[in-house]
Amino acid sequence: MAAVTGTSLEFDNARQQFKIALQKSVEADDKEDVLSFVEKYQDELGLEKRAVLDQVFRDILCEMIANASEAEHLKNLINFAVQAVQQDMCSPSTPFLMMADIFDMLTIERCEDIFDLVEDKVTIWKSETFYESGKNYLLRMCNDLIRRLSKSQNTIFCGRIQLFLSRLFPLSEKSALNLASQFNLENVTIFTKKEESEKKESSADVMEVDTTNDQSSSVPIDYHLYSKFWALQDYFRRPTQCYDKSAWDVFSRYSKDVLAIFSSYKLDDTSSSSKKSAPTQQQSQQQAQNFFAKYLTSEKLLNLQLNDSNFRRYVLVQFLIIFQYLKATVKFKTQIHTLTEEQTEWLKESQQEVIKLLCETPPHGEQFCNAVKHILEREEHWNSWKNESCPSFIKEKLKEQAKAKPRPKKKRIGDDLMASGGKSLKLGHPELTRLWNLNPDNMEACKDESRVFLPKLDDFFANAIDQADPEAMVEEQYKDINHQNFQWKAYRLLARSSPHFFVHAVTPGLPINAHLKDIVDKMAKELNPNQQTEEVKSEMAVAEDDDEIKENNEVDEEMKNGEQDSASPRLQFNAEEMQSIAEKLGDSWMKLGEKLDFPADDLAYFKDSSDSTTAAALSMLTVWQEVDPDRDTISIVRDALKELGLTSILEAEDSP
Amino acid sequence: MSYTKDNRQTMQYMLHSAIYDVCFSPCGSFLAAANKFGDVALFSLTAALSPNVQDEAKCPVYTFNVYKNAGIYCLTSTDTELICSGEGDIQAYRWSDIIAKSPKVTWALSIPQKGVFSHPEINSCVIDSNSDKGTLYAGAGDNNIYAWDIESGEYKSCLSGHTDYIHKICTKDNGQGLVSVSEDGTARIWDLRANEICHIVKPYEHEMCARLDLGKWLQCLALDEDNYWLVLGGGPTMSAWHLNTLTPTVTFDTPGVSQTVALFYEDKIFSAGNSNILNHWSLTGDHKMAVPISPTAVYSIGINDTSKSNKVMAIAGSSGYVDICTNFGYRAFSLSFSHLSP
Repeated sequence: MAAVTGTSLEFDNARQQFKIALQKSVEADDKEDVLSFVEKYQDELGLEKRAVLDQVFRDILCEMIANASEAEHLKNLINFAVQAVQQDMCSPSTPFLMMADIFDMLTIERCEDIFDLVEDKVTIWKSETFYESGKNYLLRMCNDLIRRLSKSQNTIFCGRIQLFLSRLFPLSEKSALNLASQFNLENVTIFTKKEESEKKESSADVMEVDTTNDQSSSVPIDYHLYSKFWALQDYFRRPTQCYDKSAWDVFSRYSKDVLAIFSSYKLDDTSSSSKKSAPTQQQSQQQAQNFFAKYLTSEKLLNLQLNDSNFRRYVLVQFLIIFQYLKATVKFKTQIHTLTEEQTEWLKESQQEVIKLLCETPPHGEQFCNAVKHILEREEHWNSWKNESCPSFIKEKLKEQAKAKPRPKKKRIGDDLMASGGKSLKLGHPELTRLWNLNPDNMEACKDESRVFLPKLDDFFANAIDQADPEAMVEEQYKDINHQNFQWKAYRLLARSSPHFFVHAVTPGLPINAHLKDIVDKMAKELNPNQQTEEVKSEMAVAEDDDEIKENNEVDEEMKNGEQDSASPRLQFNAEEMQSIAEKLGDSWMKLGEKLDFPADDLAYFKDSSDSTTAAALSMLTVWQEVDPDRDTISIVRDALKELGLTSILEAEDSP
Repeated sequence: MSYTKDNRQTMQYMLHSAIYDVCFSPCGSFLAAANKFGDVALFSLTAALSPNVQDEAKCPVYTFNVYKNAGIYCLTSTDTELICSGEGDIQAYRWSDIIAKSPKVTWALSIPQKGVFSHPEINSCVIDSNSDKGTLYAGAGDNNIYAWDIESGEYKSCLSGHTDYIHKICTKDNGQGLVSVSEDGTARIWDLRANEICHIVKPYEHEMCARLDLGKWLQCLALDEDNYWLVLGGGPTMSAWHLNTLTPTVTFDTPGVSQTVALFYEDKIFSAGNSNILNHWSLTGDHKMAVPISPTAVYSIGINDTSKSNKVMAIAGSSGYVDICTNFGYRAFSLSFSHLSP
């Protein structure tokens, strides 16, 4: 108990001192003063200094309001409080509570002055320190203020408050949004109805000159138009009732009549005449125009209203709005809310008429009409936005980009190779992997002996040199150098590896065989510089060993009968050999084909395209041989036949 | 006493009615309309303009017959009396009697007989109440204008000179002069003090307004308050003539449509003719408005100036309806001559 009283005493004490300090510094307009005072202030109980300062701020404000201080002073005090919050000397809600106090206690005119401050500080309210604690206070304060204001008198102030709220809250804040597109049904336009004037009517029925009645209304009133005109406002208020059949009939009839009157009663373009005289005056008049949020519906005003171009514009724009609503697809319309074809047609016609009237209405009718059309287009966008159930305006593009970035990079083949130390590489298929890994080092693979396809110069020309020797007595036609095939190969080889090829030819246009003969002779000389002696020797040898020579001759004979390429080691079959092999192979040619790595469908093709097995085997062998002429056909076929156990064919082949 | 009609007449009323003239009562609460069957119908403007208006309010409160099956061409009103003229004697009724539904002929005047079979109709009738005597002038079908002293009923004089029947007359310069327009295409300005013609105006001869394809006749006549402008129209294009110099200054062009009625009102001229359009003109000849109305040919336009609350425009013509404009820019509603609702 003692502790409690002690605290409260202490609080009061601190409050007194703070108040004096704050008052001083407010008068001196020195904020640092009071803040440093509070900073230094110490008490025994360790009071929460913030609470004290909060209270002191409100106390002083209360006094100031009671003394009817200037708006400037009040603003100044709030600025003090804001600074105190920024320095964490009092709680963040204090400035908001103070403003709420002000707006609760002041008259509307003075509120309007002070509201400047609220507007100016919108960035402060949105800052981190204030936003969370203050937004609800501000919303409540603004709503309270709006409730106090007259919708027809304080339109500008109302608008200021609404603008402030929309600046304060983020764009995505939907609490103030009319999500379900409901109509403001409270906006009822009251006008004199028939029932109300019943009493007057009964007295007017009397067949007398009723002078009192005369005085009551000073101008003749077209009550037909009056009632029709203002009855339309109810449709504008709640457009959905137009979908009702009988209500539609009334609506279309009334609007037709009203539009007919507007089109009959053309307004004078007063601005065009006054423009010449005083354009500035006209402009200032336009600026000073008053805006009313509600229509004045006294019947006495009707004639004046019909004369008023602004009034006419309001009504015509209302027509355009309702026409647009009736045609638009709105999510919240039900099944019943559809127009018949006839109604749509009527709407279209009337809309065009209204637009025409709007263009005719001075001043600057067409300009105004275009502006209205543009606004209504915007309304369509708004409507479709709502139909899509109000998607957020903030585009989520950034997030998507961020997601896309960490997509796995394409691995380069080399990386895998490096990882395995350059030894093996997985390609995802065993056969590919095998092929790829035949030799990991490409340069080494290229240098491999099996890759050397170029025959050695000496080996290639050995035969030709031999033949060139007149002692060999080879007939011209059998000499290698006279065969085109050999000539071509020889030239290729010479071009790559012989110095003789590039020797300047004394006689240009020499036939190829003659040229080759020259070269072969030169090569022969290089190989055997002492040819003469050898020849002598050989002559002697011939004499010594006749049998051997015979044998040699036989071999030569055979070679003459054999294939034309006999100059080089024989690699390929000739046609006769192939024919004999094919005949002997018979049905087993397919097996040979498999051995020779022919794909199954190729074999099937050979089989189908030939009449007999011999023909099929022959075409297969021919193709195989032609695929790679440099291949050692004979030995491969021989090996393959051996493996198949068809050695009998080989034997027959070997013995000519 | 109420006027009864047989079926045939009802049909005639419906299909062939034409209202030649309208006239507002001095109190401004009633409108009288006269048709070609010799009937005068009385409408209550107060009832027709009341908030709770019903169809009955747009029918005559009372109808009475003046000429048996003969047209009434002109209605003129004094402070107390309604003067009917047409194919018969000029007859005067007290407004108060008509409103009380018991009309009595207070006096009647007839054109001096010139032969056994001469019964000329009176097309236009004006009262010059400015001068002390009070004179009634009547433009008649026999090309003459007759004058009577309205107090005594004494026949005063005859103005002759027109070569065809007279369409319309009006007084000018406080009763010192009179203007008449006639089928012969001339407008004549008379000096009433000397009872002789001062000027003859022939719009059909003037290149500004001549429309010979429509004829030279003049039916439309209006004078502004200051007697400065004279508006003439008919076959020729309606045009405003400067009275002092008698030259046309402004034309009000209505292509192919002849104007039969014109009226100065405030700074505007209203005119209508053989089309269902009421034209609003500025004095400089600008066409301000074309208001659609129900009759296809207009014979009479009246504005009720005496009562502020019933200040309406009434337009009558070749139909059984009188159009009422509360605001002169559009037709508010129509009054039906017959008891059949419009």
